[in-house]
Amino acid sequence: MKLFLSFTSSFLLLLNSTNALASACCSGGFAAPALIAGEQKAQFTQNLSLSEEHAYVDNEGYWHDASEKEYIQTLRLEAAHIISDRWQVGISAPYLERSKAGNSASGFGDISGTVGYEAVTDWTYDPWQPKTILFGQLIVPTGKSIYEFNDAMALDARGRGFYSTGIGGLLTKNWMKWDAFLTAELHKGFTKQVDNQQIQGELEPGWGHSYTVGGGYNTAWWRFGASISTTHEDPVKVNGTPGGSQNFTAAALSVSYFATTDLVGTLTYADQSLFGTPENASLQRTISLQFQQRWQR
Amino acid sequence: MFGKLFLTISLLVLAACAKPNWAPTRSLDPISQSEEAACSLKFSKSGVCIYWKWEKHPNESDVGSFVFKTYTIDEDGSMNAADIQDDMNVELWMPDMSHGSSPVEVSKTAVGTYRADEVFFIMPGKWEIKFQIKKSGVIQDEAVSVIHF
Repeated sequence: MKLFLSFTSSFLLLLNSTNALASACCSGGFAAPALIAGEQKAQFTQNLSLSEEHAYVDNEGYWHDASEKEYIQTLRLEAAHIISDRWQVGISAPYLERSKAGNSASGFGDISGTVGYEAVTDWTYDPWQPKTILFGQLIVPTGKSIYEFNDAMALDARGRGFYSTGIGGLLTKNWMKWDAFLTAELHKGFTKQVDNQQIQGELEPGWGHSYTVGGGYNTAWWRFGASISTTHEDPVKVNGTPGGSQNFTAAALSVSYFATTDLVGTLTYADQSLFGTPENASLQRTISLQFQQRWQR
Repeated sequence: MFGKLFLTISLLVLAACAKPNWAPTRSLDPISQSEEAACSLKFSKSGVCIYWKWEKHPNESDVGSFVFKTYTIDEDGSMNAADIQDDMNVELWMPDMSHGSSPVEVSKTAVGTYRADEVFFIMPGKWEIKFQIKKSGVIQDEAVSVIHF
């Protein structure tokens, strides 16, 4: 039973590792949904990460070496709770410190709320049918964005700057000691008016989407996982003039230790410079440590 | 079964490896700006010429500065300093990312001659240096120069 619980609730650890750490520019990546992937009643997650900017890729696909590295430390707190057999709600709040060349700025990033519905259960133990959780997400722009920064190096830009809503699905499946997951989400930001020294007028974000696929091998107390995710953001229009779209791919390796059935620690390394054809993206290498406490039904 | 699946996935992943195309070392000098007498950069409405050059190059951790001149060219080819009566402003804009950078300080040093200080680009890539003539905060005329940082 313990092994089964470990399998079914370990997907989210890796999902968080690839999506939440990914950021195209200025810590503005779309947040991974705070979801209970297993059979728990509730869970609370603390994730502490350190990212180093490896390179910046411009609109023409040229990679620029970051001679002056930027570092981002993030503490992300997440909580999720079921509200019925199939419905759940969650919230995720990141606190970031960005530093570069001896300067730093810190504060909250964008806070997100999630509603999930378990559309396909694994109560029948079908050998192939994946458990499917559909989710909706609301991103609240509590972090300052690259369109509104005050710091000379824009280190106080910690969010996307738009209210955004998204929908998606998380599919999970176990086969003996192996597990696999797939998540896909689509989001859209809302237009907003800006009036500052940098921009006067309307910002119109486009659509964005991301996909993550991953898997892992489980023992009684350990899980070894890998995943890869790709993210696309449409250009943001400023007073009707579009910029460039953003694309990047993140790969992650993780190892989890199940101290008890309800307490899991995960160490993850994620790298955005290994795969894909990035565009308009700041590529980061991230190491993170995560602790997750769960409460059974 | 899982061995074959693992091998297939591994091959797919390897095929998707990133191929870094490192940017060539580029001059910070403006693109498409030739010598001063050619008036290759001008304000779009008034046609007043503008020429600028770096005084101090900015880098990833420090600000830079440049000087610029506004002038007209007579039929005989002589250059005359153009005294701009309204406010002169310089804005840094990254068109591919749809955002700007930190504010530039502009000071007039002589008739038709200005200095731009606190010039800083928050990330590498293509940037526009927008020279703007403003009246009561409204842009009256603009000239745009492009650089690669």
